[in-house]
Amino acid sequence: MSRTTTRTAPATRRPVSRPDSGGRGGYGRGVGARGIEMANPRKRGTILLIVTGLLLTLFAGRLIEIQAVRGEALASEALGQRMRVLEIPAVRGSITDNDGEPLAVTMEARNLTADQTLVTDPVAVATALGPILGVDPAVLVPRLTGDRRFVYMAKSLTPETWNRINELRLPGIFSEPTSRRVYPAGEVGANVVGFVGDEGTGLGGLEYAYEDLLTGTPGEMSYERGPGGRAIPTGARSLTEAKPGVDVRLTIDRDIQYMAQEAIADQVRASQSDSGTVVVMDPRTGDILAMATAPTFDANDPGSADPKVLGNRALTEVFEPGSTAKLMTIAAVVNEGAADAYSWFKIPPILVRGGEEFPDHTPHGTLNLTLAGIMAKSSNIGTILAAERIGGRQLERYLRKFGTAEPTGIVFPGEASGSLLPRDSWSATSLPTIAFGQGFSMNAVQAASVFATIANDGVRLQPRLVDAFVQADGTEELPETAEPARVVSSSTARQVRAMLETVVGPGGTAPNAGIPGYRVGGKTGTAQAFDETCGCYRGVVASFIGMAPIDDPQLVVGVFLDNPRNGRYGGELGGPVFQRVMTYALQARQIPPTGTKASHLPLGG
Amino acid sequence: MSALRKHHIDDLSSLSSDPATTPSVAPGVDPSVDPSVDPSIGPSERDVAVAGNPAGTEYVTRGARSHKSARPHLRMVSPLRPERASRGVFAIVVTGVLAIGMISILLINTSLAQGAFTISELKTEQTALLQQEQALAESVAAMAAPEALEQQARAMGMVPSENPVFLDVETGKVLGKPKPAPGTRATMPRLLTPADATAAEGVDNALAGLPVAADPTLDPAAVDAAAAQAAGNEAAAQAAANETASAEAARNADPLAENSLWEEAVIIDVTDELAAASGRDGKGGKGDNKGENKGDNKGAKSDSKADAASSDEGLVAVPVP
Repeated sequence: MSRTTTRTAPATRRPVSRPDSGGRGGYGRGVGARGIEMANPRKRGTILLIVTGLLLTLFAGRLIEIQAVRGEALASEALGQRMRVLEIPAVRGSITDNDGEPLAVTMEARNLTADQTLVTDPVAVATALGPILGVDPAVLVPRLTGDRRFVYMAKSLTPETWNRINELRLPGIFSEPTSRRVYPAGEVGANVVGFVGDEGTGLGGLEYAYEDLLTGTPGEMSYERGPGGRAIPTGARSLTEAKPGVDVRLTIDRDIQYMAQEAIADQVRASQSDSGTVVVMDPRTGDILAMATAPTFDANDPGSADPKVLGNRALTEVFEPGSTAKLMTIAAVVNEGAADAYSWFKIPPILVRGGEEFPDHTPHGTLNLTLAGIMAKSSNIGTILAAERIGGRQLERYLRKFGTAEPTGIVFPGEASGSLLPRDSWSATSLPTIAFGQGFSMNAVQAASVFATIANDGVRLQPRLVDAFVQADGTEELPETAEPARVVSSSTARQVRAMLETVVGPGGTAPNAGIPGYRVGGKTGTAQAFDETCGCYRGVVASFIGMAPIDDPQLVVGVFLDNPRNGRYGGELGGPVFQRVMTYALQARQIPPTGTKASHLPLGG
Repeated sequence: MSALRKHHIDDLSSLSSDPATTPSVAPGVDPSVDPSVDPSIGPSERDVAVAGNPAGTEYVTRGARSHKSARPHLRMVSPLRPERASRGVFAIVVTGVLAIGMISILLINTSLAQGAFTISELKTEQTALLQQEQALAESVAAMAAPEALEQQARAMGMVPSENPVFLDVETGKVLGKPKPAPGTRATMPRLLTPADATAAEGVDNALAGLPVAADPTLDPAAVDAAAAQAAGNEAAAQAAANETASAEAARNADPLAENSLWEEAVIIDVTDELAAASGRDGKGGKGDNKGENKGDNKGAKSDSKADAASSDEGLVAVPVP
């Protein structure tokens, strides 16, 4: 076509165009000069050009609008229509005992749901579900009747139960995956481990304290799906794996914890106490092997328990330690060289200090007792006389070195650390009072830690409750602990331990705490309990804290009974619990007797 | 005009390897774009054009070089024919490639879909197995919980040991003071035999391997002595024999039971005592047991215990500081 045009056009135009000029200008004009025949195509061309131009401009404009202006929004909308994003829940970390035995684990579960509009025969469905769920079908019928499209029928079913329901193919019955927190040991360690709420978040104990660590980070999976809902194999997809929570391995020994709970529960019942606590420690590491309270609760069902028992008394309650604190006073006196186990003291029947009379628990005439005798017979007067040899400032210094009124270092919600007035605020009766363990307060772990310090040759270790944080890949991270601190010399510790042995010996205050074949030692305490409701002293805290084997202590057991009504004294009530728990713990830890002979210290009388 | 055109074609054949010039003279190209070959331009014009066009000049120069051999060169253009013939092959090849490609895509998609199905099937299976594993782990955990274990042990007639006793297997020495465990005839278990254990379900099966199931008909003294002698310690053997003798006395009060944590030798010992005791009467409770013990050489300790209750500490009234 173009060829013909070019060939014919010059023929006709040549005469015209020649005088003008050669080249393209002439060619263009030549076409125009052809007049009416060529006018149409040219106009048509122009119109076409304009129309095309307009159309293209329109297209271009639309293109710019779609691609540039709304581009991102549209693309993401389109992607959103075929993209499906699923959250992958992170599995909550487990809490285990020191041997890896589970105390709290997360298991898969199903929530049972119903779409009421699809349930054609509520009674039949309820009759089928009732026996499996263990619920009266009559209760289920109302929840299956109506026009709500989503109703919870039951929560946290085991996958097994769901499978049984699923097999029935009941119309309108569905499930959604969820998880449930299981405490296989039930009550064992419940006060330490704590519990979770309906949403699976920690509400008490270590579940609450380490919530952030245990939770982990949820992952996300996204994929493009076709009309059928199946993933498009070649489509875009991304997967961010969930980061499971960190496992927390405790220092608790599940078996010892159980025995301790049983023993204290029995004694709380027998002595009609308000509550009771047992703390078992390994003095060589500071590990808390058991921390039992009674009454306690089932961690699987905290909702049905009395809110008062949900805490962990061993850390959250303080009391005046009473005679068990004489250990600190006597250790301080020995360490300062002011007296030793063989030093004799003349004990008057009554001691008057600051206008107050301080008697001993059993009326007596003037006695001659050694420092060991003072410990064995738990003489208040003797302890005051010994404490006066070092003075209040030294006494306070030692009490604080032993950890009085100082946080234990254990991460636990609501820990109460007790209190001790600074020396400058002491009154005339403070020194004698504090010397035998009244007028200041501590919690059960602090009290047990004092004995652990003496057991560990005078070096105080921070009590440990968490052994390690175990990551998903198996790496372990140890919790921070304070540096060991020497409180008294090892020879002081040895001497004090020999005195503790006399307490369970003949003439001591706790002869029923002994364990045949073993050398044990300890100290009784029967402290007056300060009742905040009346602002007065009412009731007692009976306690016994001891260790074994006394010549190489590997276990410390502290027993505390709050407000016993049947019985009163620490040796009488705490001793048997100590004996039972210690006997079991020695077996469980496979600690044989040392085979050495008991030390015989003169006690006087 | 035709001469120049011929030259030009010659040029094409002779220069066909020259990439710079080839495109400008391709057969389909409109000659009008090239002033040097525009047939509508007269000779004079052409001269001007050639003179004014360096490219044209070059054509002329080059054309002049191969001027004489115009015809033979024309023949050499012929490769067009084989090209035409190859088009059919080309079409087949292309169609083939296309077909193979499409079939491949189909196959890949099918296998992808198949893979997706397999994945979802395996995932379902995995979920089911995981659930099964979890359910089993949970029931194991429940049975292994201390409380459940204690209940089972008690159901078998076991009681907690009141004093820890160890047997040093190296020296044959008994560490600790052995003492009959508390318990009454009523709670005496029927001794487990391997047959019982295998007949029992679940956890009980595990007990089949425990020495508790040892033959209960063995003579206690003989086993004690044998165990000690095996360790090559005459003194220990004597001690063990003595022990058996003192245990003999204790049997009148109570049969023995032991904690299963001990070394095998100790457990066998206990089993034997149980066997021997099972033939006797003995209904003493805890209190009776203590009373009996007072009589033998452990009496001193028990006495002090009895005295203990009376001599305990008291407390003093203390003002609030």
